[in-house]
Amino acid sequence: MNRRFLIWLFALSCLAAFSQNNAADSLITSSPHRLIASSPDSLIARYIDLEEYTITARVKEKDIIIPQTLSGVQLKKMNALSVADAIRYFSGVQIKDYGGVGGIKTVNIRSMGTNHMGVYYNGVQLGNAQNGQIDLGKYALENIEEIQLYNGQKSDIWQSAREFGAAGSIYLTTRRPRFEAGKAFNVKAQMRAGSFALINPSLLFDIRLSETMSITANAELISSDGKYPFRYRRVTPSGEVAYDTTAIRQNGDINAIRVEAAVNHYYSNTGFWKLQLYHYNSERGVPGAIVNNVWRNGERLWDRNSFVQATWQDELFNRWSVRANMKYANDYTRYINNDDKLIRVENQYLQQEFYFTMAHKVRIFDWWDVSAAYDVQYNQLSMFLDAHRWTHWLSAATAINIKNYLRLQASILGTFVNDKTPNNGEAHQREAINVKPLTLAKQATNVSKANTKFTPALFLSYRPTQLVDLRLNAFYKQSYRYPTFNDLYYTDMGNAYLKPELAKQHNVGLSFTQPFRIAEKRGSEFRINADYYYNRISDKIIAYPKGQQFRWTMLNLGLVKINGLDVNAQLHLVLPMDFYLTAKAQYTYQTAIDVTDPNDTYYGDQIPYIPWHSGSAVGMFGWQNDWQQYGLNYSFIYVGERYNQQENIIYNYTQPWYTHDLSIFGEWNIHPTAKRSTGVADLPSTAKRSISPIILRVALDVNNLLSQDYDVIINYPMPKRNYKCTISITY
Amino acid sequence: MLDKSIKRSLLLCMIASAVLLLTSCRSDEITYPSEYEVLPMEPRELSSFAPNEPIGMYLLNEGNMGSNKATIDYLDFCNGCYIRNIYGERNPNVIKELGDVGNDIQIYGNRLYAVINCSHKVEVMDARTCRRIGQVDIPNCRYICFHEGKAYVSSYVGPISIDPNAQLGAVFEVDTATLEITRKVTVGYQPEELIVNNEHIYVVNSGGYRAPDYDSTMSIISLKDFRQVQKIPVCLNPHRLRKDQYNHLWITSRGDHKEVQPQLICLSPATNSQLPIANAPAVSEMVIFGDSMYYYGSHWNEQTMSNTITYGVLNIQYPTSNIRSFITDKTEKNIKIPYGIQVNPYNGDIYITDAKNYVSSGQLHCYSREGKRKWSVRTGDIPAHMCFIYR
Repeated sequence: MNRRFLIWLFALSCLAAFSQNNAADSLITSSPHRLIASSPDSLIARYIDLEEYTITARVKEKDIIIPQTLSGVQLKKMNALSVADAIRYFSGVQIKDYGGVGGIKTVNIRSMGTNHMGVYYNGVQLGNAQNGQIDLGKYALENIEEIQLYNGQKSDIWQSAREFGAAGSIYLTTRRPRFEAGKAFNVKAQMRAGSFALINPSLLFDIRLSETMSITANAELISSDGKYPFRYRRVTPSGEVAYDTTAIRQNGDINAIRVEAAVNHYYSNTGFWKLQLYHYNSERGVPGAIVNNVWRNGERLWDRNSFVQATWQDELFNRWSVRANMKYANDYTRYINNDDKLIRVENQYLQQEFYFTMAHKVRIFDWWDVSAAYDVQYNQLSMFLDAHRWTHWLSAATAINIKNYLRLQASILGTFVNDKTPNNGEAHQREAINVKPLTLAKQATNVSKANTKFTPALFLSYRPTQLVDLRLNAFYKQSYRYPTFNDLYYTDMGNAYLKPELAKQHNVGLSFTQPFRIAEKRGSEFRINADYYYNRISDKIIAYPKGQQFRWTMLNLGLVKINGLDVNAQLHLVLPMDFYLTAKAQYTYQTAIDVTDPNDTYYGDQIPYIPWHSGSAVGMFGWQNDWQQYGLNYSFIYVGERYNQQENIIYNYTQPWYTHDLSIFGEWNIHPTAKRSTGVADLPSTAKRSISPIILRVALDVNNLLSQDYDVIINYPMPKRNYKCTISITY
Repeated sequence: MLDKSIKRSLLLCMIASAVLLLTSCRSDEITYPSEYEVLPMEPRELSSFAPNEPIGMYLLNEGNMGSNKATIDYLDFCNGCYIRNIYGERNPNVIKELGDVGNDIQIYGNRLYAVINCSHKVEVMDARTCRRIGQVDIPNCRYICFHEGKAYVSSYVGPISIDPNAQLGAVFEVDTATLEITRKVTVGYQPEELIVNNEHIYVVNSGGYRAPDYDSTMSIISLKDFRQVQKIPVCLNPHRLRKDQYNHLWITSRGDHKEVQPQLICLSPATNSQLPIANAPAVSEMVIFGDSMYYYGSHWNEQTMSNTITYGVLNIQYPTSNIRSFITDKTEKNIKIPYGIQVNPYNGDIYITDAKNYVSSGQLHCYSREGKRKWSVRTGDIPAHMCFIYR
């Protein structure tokens, strides 16, 4: 019992330490645990360790349904290049990956389509009004501290109205600068290099301006020629090799730069404000589909995404929490087709977005919270086609916690959309990127339309006993996917009369968490979640043929029923002799059946690219002492058989794919005084303050260990075995 | 507590791995097999076919762009069956199969020619066996016709132009003996169908990529020096070009999908004068068979958000009078998007294909000359182009 108490004390003290830097020093020294007290060398890593296993556990109490989380140390150990690579390990997620460093990577959750997924960057949704697709390959992990995936919505009711809107939500939380006592700045320099001529240097700076205020800046360059060998091989039914060819992927190069900067001011225990700048600029080749007689494409794409985002939040009178967010985003895209076999194309798009939100939460009683939020957003698309949209969101929510046995959250969201195409919706362009370009003409409809929808959600969590952490969860949620500008106004293909697509989600689940200790060492934990869900997508927006040669229109025709089971389990063992082991496994079974029209040949068939079975496993084994750490990580991803078109016939069959990834890393404190101080557990705190560690980290990654030749998307070959080496120095 | 948890997790891992193992691993990719379907037809001896009676029909399925799913099916009148994806089975060694977006198929001599638009090639096969002989690389090729041992192929891509919006198309001449390109001539924007008539090639220029500034001309190329000798205005966004037995040229246009309606015009090449056709039907594709023109029209209506689809047969001598549908048993409602038509010149059977939603299997329907549906069969994706083979 005494030990349990100490852990809590520990957790609380760390929480306090993080919110008040000046207090950290004394708290650390007074901490009873050797882990922190005597290991300045791996402090940075362990800080995050702590946060993961204690702090977040406490914060999660707010969550009615615990999200899937990857954070801190785990993220670091994965050493993934982008958010998309990390998200593959979540259950219920399907990723579309067109291959290579520059290939577009989008995710959808529980078979509901990419546009149903909300991706939030520090609480503000990343937008793409044009086509609704967020390329998660663009978001590097360098500056990300935590990735969370919520089915439905974040179950904390203190959120912006828009956050209630998505069918599934990914939260990307950027690093918050933390300073050891007496340190005025942190710096990290990293160099990553690997296959496909990947070069990825990055630099990170934190500067402490005062006890409560800090600046952080982070820049990185990504360059890769995207050339990798791929192989297509087929055998005849009698077993002879029909063909076996290996070629080099062409036009998959990328050059990108990302710069981020933020000012944080944590001015009190409850309040802070933050100003954030983000800039991303890239030029890349679009490698295109590999089809007979075509081994390279000439498409090029330039992307420039910039945004500035400001956040303020505080708690007033101990009961009233307020948060405000503002964002301005400016995105420019240029696309050209240089292929001399095709018609030359040049498209330019400019998207702008203004966003403001204010969310309030009032604690009426300790067990009853209510919240209300209002968001407004303006989107504008120009150059390629002119369209703009005003959207207002209004939400009300309430959360009830009955003695920690029953937690309940109910919310209602009103969405008010107003679209306009001022130029009569004239598209200035001649050709669509993904449409067989034959007969595209101007959209001559002058449209102004308004749309109002209300969507409810209800979340429940029941914990029958406080003795074990076993919870029964359930939720019901409705959400709309609004037509994008492309759906509505795309050159001759859009349909300005589209209704939004409606998703109804039903979920029941079970979660069980059991902390335990091995040889008197704390921190081991076993956790398992299982969820069954049923989703129904109606008025699904689908491309429908207009009759003449390849003229399509978008119609609300589709009806899809999705049934699924997600299971994920995690075991974390803190072993004797400073060893640790983490094992995670997740498995998803789902059916996503098209039930649009019984006359269709694909009626009752699984929708494209949704596997029945998918899963992943991750194992992390390591050893650490006061001045060094070594680890071995292994991960496995399995995506089962699926079909690449609507009909489940042999010609559309796509084989399963599975990859094994392996990485090893070592971390050493190379500070000149480090070794001398090792093991001196009871050094005076003043001495410890002077020896901030300098950590050298070297990691080696091998991806697709067995060099499997596979396509995630048909005709977009993925890389074979590839390597990556990372060296970083952190002070 | 520890033991219990570990046991539990071990059990879970075992279940998970068992499930993954059960759900089959990756195996060798097998070449696409053909599928055979028996049709309600009497099998016949090959020798019982008259010389002018087709013994089979090849059907080219376009396949959606980027899917690499252009396939060739074969309708076998001898054995009374339908063979899906015959190319894949007969040519297993061709890397990445037939290609992406088939656009035309024709037989000339003993050879079968398939124009594969997005694979930038004309595939040349033996007409009897469908086995590959070779290929001719022509960028963005569209349609093919033949004359005196030469093949003529229209292509969207002519000379490299400075202005990306003004890229002219071309017609290529290919020697069918050597499969080499012998000559090339620049024509109008995005040329489509072409024919040879009286030592000249006629090709219609659609300008389909240039919407709304469509082309509306027909280029006339002299075969002697392979030069464009004339470019005459025809109709907006022309597509089909056929010759009838009176040496008249029939041209269909798609219009601009807005104000300008699709048109059907008839042109006398001797004088290049248009014979006016009042109230001509909207024709998407047609087959001229003697004095009859079998056609279908498929026209999208922005108001009702639906297709207006018509099936008809008209007399080319009196094109505006007495148009009737060639489907009489009211089964046309089962056809979602008509996408190809062919008429058996021997028995008058009419073949019409249905492309459905362009991304799933289509259908081939056979109608008797009386307009009664005889049978239907599943095809590849976007069945579109058909040609007959004779004994």
